[in-house]
Amino acid sequence: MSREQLQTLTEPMYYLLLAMRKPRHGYDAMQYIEHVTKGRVHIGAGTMYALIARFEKEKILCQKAEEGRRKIYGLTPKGEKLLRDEISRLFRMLADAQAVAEEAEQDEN
Amino acid sequence: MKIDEKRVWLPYRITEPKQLEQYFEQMAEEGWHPESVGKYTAKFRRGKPRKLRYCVDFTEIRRDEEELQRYTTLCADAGWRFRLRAQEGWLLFFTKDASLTPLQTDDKLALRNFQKAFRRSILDNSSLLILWAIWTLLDLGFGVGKGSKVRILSGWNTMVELFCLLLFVLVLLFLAVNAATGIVGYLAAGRAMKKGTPIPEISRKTARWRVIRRRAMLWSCGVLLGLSILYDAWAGNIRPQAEQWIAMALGAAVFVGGFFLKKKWLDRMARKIAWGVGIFFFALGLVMAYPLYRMEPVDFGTEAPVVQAEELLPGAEVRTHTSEYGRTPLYERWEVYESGSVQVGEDEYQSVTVSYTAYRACSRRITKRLAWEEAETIRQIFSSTSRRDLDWPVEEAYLVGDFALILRDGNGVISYFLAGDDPEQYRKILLQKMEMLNTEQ
Repeated sequence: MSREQLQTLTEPMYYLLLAMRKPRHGYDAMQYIEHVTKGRVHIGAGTMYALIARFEKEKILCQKAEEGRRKIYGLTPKGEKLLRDEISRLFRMLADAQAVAEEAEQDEN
Repeated sequence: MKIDEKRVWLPYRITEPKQLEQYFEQMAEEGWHPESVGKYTAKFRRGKPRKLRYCVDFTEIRRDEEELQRYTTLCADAGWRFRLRAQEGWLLFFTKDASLTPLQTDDKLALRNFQKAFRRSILDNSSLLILWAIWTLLDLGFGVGKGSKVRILSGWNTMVELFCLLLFVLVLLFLAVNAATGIVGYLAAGRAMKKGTPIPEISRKTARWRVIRRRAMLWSCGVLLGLSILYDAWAGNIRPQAEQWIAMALGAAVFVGGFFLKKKWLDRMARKIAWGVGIFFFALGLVMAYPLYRMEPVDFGTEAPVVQAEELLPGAEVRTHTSEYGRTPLYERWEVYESGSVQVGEDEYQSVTVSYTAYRACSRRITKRLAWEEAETIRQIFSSTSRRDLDWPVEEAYLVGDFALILRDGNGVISYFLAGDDPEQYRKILLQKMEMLNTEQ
């Protein structure tokens, strides 16, 4: 995972940030993502662990509590900003796509 | 009686993770479940035949046990149960659920972890090669400008030593070939993972040959070592007495018996005991030389004549000791011979042969060995940090009549042998040399 990838998040990264708006442990986040995406996005346990480790190192996630061998993570202020920026970027992309689609529709008519 | 445990050669390696998984799945179907996995072998325990799905996982976690437990807990929550950590660092998980989400769903991340794991594995496998390269470089480095050149074969005097030299070359060759084929496999696997295509697989025939090759190499080494020992015994190189022959023959018989009878009569523990007893008696047969040499004078004939050791006392007074030079199987040695010359007169040079002997044994044992020869320490003629023209720190010095000045430090021995027709002349040179060193001290 190169540094550039963090500036534009991959799908699993984006959903992980989304899941961690509420403090959760890794498996909880995996289940949440499957539920939110209605089974479209699956993240393997190995990938989830590596993503969390990477985000923790980048101070995007931080440990909030511990339940036995499970660490519970939540977003840091940096992580919250990253998620907000990503959501607004996605909104802009969607708006652009809608505008292009409308233009195409008008051209057809 | 059924065998509950077995160790087998692994037909696949780290660059063939999918085939490794299939291999473990096939073994599980036959009722064999892995307990530990080394670089080349794996240990299985008999259990119920089960249809399992295995996953070879390359993780970044190395030595942090707490972190590993957290990771395996997360995997267990997701349905993957941790089985073991292989010697090469990768983890083995299994599940009964054939449709479970794989552990790694990010191809780039999986590729990066695979590359890291492989690099570590290559480093581990190459450690002997690196040591050998360093040794060679150092040796060449020391040789340059000093006119010395290592001639390894000049030092061997038993078949076992020759075999060990051959084995050393074979092991290096094995490691080099293994590393080269591993790198080829790694590059192919890396390219496939990058493209998202399946990792190239080796055929079943190739995998089977890989196992046969390794097994054959190990057994031929064992047989050749045994034959070398027997040859040395027959040729008088290790000179076993009747007691030694009995102990060694008994040991060999029990050991070989333990192997051939294992499937029918012996269970795992009994076989281990048989092998342990066999090795013990065989080793005992070899080690018995130690007290036997001490108890009985050994006739070395013309190979190793009785020599005179002369102790140099203050005031150039000389005391003579008679010693018997013997060989013992308790250590091995490597020797290097150099030829050079020393200046005798203003324009006159005398040839001299320097023999450097490095013993693969502790210095205490060498001191003991030298004590057997009754060549007493003269005294410390110069400090251990002194190098002077010898370029060698010295703790003890011996003047052996007619042919040599022997100096010892730790487990290294250096000897100056003079060559030529006039021993008396050379003896004088040696005495002068010692006098000179004494004066400098």
